[in-house]
Amino acid sequence: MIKFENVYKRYPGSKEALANVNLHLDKGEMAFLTGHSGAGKSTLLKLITLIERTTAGKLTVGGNQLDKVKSYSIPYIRRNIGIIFQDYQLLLDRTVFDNVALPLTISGFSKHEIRKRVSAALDKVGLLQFEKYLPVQLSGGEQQRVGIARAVVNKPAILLADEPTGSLDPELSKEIMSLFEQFNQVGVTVLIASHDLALINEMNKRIIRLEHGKVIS
Amino acid sequence: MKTIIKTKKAQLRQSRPGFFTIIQSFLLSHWHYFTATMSQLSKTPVSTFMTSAALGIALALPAGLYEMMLSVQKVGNEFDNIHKISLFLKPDVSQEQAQKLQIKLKSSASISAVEYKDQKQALEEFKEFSGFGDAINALNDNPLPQVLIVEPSLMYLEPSNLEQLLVTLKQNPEVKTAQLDVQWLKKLFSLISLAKTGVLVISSLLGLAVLLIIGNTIRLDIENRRQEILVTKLIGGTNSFIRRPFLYLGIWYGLLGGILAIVLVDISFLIIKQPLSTLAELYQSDLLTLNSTEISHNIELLTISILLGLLGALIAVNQQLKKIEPT
Ligand SMILES: Nc1ncnc2c1ncn2[C@@H]1O[C@H](COP(=O)(O)OP(=O)(O)OP(=O)(O)O)[C@@H](O)[C@H]1O
Ligand SMILES: [Mg+2]
Repeated sequence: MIKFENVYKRYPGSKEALANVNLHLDKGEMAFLTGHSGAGKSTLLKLITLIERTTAGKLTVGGNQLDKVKSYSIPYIRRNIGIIFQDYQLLLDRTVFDNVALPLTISGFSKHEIRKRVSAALDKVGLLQFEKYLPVQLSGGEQQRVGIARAVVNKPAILLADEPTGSLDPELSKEIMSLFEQFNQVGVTVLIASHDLALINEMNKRIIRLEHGKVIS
Repeated sequence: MKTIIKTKKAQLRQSRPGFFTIIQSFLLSHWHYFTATMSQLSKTPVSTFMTSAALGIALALPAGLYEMMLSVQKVGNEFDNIHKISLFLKPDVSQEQAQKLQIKLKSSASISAVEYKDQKQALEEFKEFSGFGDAINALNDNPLPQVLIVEPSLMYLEPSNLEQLLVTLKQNPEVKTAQLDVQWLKKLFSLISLAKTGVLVISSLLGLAVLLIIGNTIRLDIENRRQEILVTKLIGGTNSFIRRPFLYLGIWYGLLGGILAIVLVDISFLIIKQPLSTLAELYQSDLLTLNSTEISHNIELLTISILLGLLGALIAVNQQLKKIEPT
């Protein structure tokens, strides 16, 4: 599903953030990405979502060779990937419902279909009763669950998360992780970048370690 | 027969379920943005009004000038076909001699009509046209000569023929001077065409101002919604999807500015109307009037202002969207 072959990433004016990365994630696999600060975790996820482009090497995601993709097709590739951010990235002037509906609105779904799917996604993360709230009226953990609902409402094949529990307490973090596990169980490929070694070890999943831009295991 | 058509339709609907949904949601989303941007604007009534007012003023000036030019042109057109020659007779020519000359000229093939004005008539007319009535009343003697107004036949209306006729007419011993009225017309027309160019230049400049005002307003709005644009890009929103609400914003500004411009022009014309009609009376012209602008002109103005709004928004959005990329 996700395949890095000799991938390099160099930001202009600095040394390599990723060097000769080889990595393969199968369809339906769940893995954690870890490493010291500055190891290149965020960079690796940004390459998959085409926020950054590879400097060299071959990167294939869901059958698309990303290093060959033209910029006008980037939006359509992103629609197959659900992204979850440490700072949630919710639109603060829209209700929970509208936030979760955004990916569907973008793809041109009918109102009826949007209502159906958003309700299902909010139900899945246990926030159905909050659909009319604004994000600021929710706690951090709840806001992150809104972010997750938005990421999965489109039924993407891949779910990526960069430090999704970075600002949550251990209890909430565990809840969020088990949500990811549930999506993985229905066939979604999941890749999560995290510092939280204790939590990761508990999950019993594949762990990919990065050090200075290189995969070490 | 009916049932066959029905099943065909049903089959069609089933075989292409996505098509109607896509078209429908496309139209719905455009309607959605049209109303959503309207409600967005109505949430900030003061700044919306100020922007629209600036646009309205910028649009009203060329629109008003254009409208005025049209009515001046109408006055000009009234005289367009009149190429008359005024023959001012020598002071010692008697009334009888003058009338004899009138009859003689009338019989010429190159002349279609000759009008005779004695000194009194000439004076009356001059009073009315010049507006110096009282001053002239104070005069003891009538300083004006008798006048024969010669109307050339249609086929002699070519400028070269007219000049020829003028020379011939001057040769009559009773005539002191012969003057082709077309000369002041030529002046009027060159003035009108100068005014036209002026209006065109002013319109272009103010059109540019409208583009800049709208572009800048939209640019600020984009800046304010930077976060929203970033998130939308991150979850797969295309540029055209992101562009849409801003383009509708431009359309709204254009529409509001255009409406205000129409109102401003009509109000100004109402104010000018009274002094203008006095002026028109003075010149005995029914044509020199300014009515409120015609519907068709209003529609033209709205079309132009909406297009300017759309264009200004398009330029601003295209310029700004490139700068907002997730990192
Ligand atoms: N936009 C950028 N321009 C230049 N250098 C960058 C940029 N983004 C990241 N880097 C550099 O690339 C390297 C990898 O950064 P990255 O953000 O991927 O690390 P990380 O593993 O996510 O770290 P953290 O755990 O602190 O989030 C770092 O040395 C960083 O300074
Ligand atoms: Mg990071």
